[in-house]
Amino acid sequence: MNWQFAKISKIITENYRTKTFQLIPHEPLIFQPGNHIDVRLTSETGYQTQRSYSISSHPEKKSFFEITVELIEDGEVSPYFFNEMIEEDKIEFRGPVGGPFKWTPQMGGPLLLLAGGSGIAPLRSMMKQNVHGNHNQKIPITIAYSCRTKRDMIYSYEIDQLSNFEYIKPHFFFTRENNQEDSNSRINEDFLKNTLKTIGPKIAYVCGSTQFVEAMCALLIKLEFPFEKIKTERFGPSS
Amino acid sequence: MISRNFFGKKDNPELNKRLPPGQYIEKSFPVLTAGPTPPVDLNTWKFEIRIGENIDHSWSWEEFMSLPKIKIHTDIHCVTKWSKFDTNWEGVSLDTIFEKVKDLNKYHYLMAYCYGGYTTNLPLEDTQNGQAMIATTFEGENLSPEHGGPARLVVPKLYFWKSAKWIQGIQLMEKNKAGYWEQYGYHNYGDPWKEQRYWND
Ligand SMILES: Cc1cc2nc3c(=O)[nH]c(=O)nc-3n(C[C@H](O)[C@H](O)[C@H](O)COP(=O)(O)OP(=O)(O)OC[C@H]3O[C@@H](n4cnc5c(N)ncnc54)[C@H](O)[C@@H]3O)c2cc1C
Repeated sequence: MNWQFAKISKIITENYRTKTFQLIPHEPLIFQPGNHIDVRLTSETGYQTQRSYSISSHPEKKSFFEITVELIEDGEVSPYFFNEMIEEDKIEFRGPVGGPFKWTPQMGGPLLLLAGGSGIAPLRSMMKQNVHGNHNQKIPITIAYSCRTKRDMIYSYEIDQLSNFEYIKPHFFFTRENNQEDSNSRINEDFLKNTLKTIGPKIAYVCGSTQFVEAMCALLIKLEFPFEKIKTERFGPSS
Repeated sequence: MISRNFFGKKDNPELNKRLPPGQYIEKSFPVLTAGPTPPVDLNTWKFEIRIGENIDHSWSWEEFMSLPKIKIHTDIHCVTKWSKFDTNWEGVSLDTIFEKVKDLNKYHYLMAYCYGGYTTNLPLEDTQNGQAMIATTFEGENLSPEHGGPARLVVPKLYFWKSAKWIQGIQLMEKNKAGYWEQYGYHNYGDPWKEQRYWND
């Protein structure tokens, strides 16, 4: 798979530690919601490093695509994106790359999307495909989005609009909104049990930190949701 | 292309000699898996060798644990870009497993297959002579489920997706066949030093 260049055409500040980068590649990028790209940075000494970022935009928008990067304070690549990159900069990337974590309208639904923090990035691409894609049958989607506080939400301007479509049902969970532990501020067993019962999802997509993904999968399996219908993407390390 | 004002924080020439291209050093242990962690029950656990569709040999957990063990000290390299230095594994060498197979030299490839449905293909010769084990401990502790416990394949010379987690058995094959990630566009061999991540790399 070849390396190519893309120009940063726009940078959208999503919140105090997350930015979305709109990228214009030389050749339009043909991808499916859920795919990611590999980004490569090179220093003057010739040192190179790579990281993966999910594509967060609508696949039928052919002129550009977007990635959404969350700042990991002591990281190597995300602080470079967050603090250093400006519009008109170029980045080197290859892709799209993807495995089983993808959704196309032909795969049908209903869908259950479980997002932890920046894990909402590839799920946004799926939702956009469903809302703006030119397929006839819109798929019912329930999305549960968990982040630390309201300030940590990404795409909040869009998610509000999404709930205008009757086939998209968002639910929000803020794990550190109050200083007290409130079990309803997490995506918990009761919530999932009700959701599985009312929407009967065909596929569940789970994306976020390793801890988030492990916790959500354990609950889904406990609730006897079929193992092979759970698709996962883990962004971060675990201990 | 030089990335303007990029001074790699992790650019450490001494350490990076040990690092294959495009990799970075990770101190924790990330998880790469296509799906959820499958529940595996030791009471019904089996490790099998298959020839074609037939089970040629199989071990229960107890039988397997009574096989002689070896240790491997190694660096590991995951296709999602992290590498981890100086990891310690203990388990059963594939050489021990292969002792049970008649006419082993009839076969040139193997497909590792797993609880949860995952598969991955490897050339047989890359798993012989102490190059591969079925690991049951990591850093002296029982292998945790999210890292592939109770038992996983460990083939350190290849990208770590080849080191199949939750292994259930090995199918010997005369001809090569693509496994799970390999069908999705990941490289058939996966040598980190040649950066063989995807098809045509
Ligand atoms: C398939 C895939 C898709 C991804 N998609 C996205 C995406 O859409 N948006 C996005 O922001 N990231 C995404 N990531 C994570 C991304 O690739 C980097 O790992 C992340 O940006 C951190 O890189 P870094 O160089 O800043 O930190 P590093 O220098 O790699 O790490 C610095 C420290 O932070 C820890 N760390 C690394 N990543 C995380 C994390 N996610 N959460 C908490 N701690 C962490 C490390 O263990 C280390 O201690 C994805 C990862 C994968 C494998």
